[in-house]
Amino acid sequence: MKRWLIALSIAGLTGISGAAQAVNWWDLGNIKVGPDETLKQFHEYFKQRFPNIPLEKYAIGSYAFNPEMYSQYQEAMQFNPGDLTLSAGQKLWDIPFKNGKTYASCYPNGGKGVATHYPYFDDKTKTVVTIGTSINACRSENGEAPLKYGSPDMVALQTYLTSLSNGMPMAIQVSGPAATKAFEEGKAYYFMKRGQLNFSCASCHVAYPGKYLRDQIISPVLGESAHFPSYRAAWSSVNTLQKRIEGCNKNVGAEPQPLESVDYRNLEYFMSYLSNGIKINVPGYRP
Amino acid sequence: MKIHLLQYITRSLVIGAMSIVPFGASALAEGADMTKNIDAGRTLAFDRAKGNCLACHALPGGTMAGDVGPALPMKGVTFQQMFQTKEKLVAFLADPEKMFPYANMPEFGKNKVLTHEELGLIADYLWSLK
Ligand code: HEC
Ligand code: HEC
Repeated sequence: MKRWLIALSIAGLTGISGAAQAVNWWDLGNIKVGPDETLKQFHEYFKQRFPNIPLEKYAIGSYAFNPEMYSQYQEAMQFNPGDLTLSAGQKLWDIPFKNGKTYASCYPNGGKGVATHYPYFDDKTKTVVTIGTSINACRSENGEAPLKYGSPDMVALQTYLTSLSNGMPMAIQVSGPAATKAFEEGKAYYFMKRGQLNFSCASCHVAYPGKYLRDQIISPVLGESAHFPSYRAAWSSVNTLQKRIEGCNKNVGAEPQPLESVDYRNLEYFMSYLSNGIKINVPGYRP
Repeated sequence: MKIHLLQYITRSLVIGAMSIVPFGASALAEGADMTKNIDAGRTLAFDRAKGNCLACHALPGGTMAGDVGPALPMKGVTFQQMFQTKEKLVAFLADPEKMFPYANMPEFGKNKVLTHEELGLIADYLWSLK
């Protein structure tokens, strides 16, 4: 690694730019290869980088790189403060709408297992549907006003519905040209450098997972979406993947997008697909 | 300690860019001036609201350093060997991507996180590391 850096910098300083080929993580950003190949390349890349981390272990994020932190995590998980949000979500879930129906009526199996397929691409509306937007769609079908994204009730409902798939592996589907386009837009967002620090999501979560940024271990993209909504000590509350993305956007001095905007939904679609095969575990718990 | 450090670090980098440079010295100063520059450069490099280099690099005497970038100075290569001139080092810090593609360092100069003068002081400091 070090030797490569020297070679690269010296090559750079003397104006030879051919050495760029060595940075193969960047090649993962090619948006022309389609979802199947993308998934294969990402899984292969991470397998080569971290041969000792099996796919299912990506569920624990940055803890996979620090066993000591992980045992603290396991202790904490026995008293996950996020469980309060989970039970608040369950209560809300069970309250009937004015028409007497419940959220459960909007989903197959009353919602059990559905989160493994979210987000999905809706061919009728030509848009990515997330757990969040599906909850509001369910409300409007039943004559209720939408909830504000990011509001405690919305987050609690997202947490509860997602938790009905706990222990089941993510199985996002991308099929057909329109879905593929949304996926590729999410991928492009993931690799686009932005903000005053000029970092892409991939600069941190693909190029440097396992590395320390000050005292934080950077997590790999694989598995991130499988534990959201998550409790975070830094938030002292449970919040969503998109809320976390907003934070990373701000951290590099970039303009965040509105929650459930097209950009964020496409991004979540792309990221979630990469976590296929990893078991859902919600609410997660992170420092 | 439960501060979200990245937030702190990166946000302060951004805020840092907006404040005014207290140092007027040139990167080419000599003798006593140079000692002052080196100290000022070290302060800028360590300051979370300025260079915040420790977020990603170990530097001599720095604590709680990240390892996203190589420990500096890099083993077996001096800054003199790597960059030949201080001006090239400043140019690298100002816009790493221009010097080598796919660089993952923030562009301290190009994105106005630090001024040219501040980068000169940091270069003086790095140049002094053995
Ligand atoms: C400058 C580095 C950096 C950049 C750029 C960055 N992140 Fe992060 N991100 C971090 C760090 C550090 C953390 C906290 C530690 C961790 O990964 O769990 C984090 C956490 C996360 C998490 C939570 C992970 C978990 O398991 O709890 C998600 C999701 C995430 N980032 C997504 C993104 C996305 C999407 C982008 C681009 C829009 C992005 N990040 C850009 C450094 C970065
Ligand atoms: C957010 C991460 C980050 C920060 C902050 C950062 N660097 Fe770096 N730096 C890197 C990375 C990563 C590399 C390796 C080369 C690359 O990919 O850009 C690097 C490389 C270097 C190099 C060696 C270049 C080479 O040829 O390998 C020097 C010198 C350097 N950084 C100085 C600094 C100084 C001085 C500061 C603060 C003013 C700083 N860096 C802040 C990430 C960072």
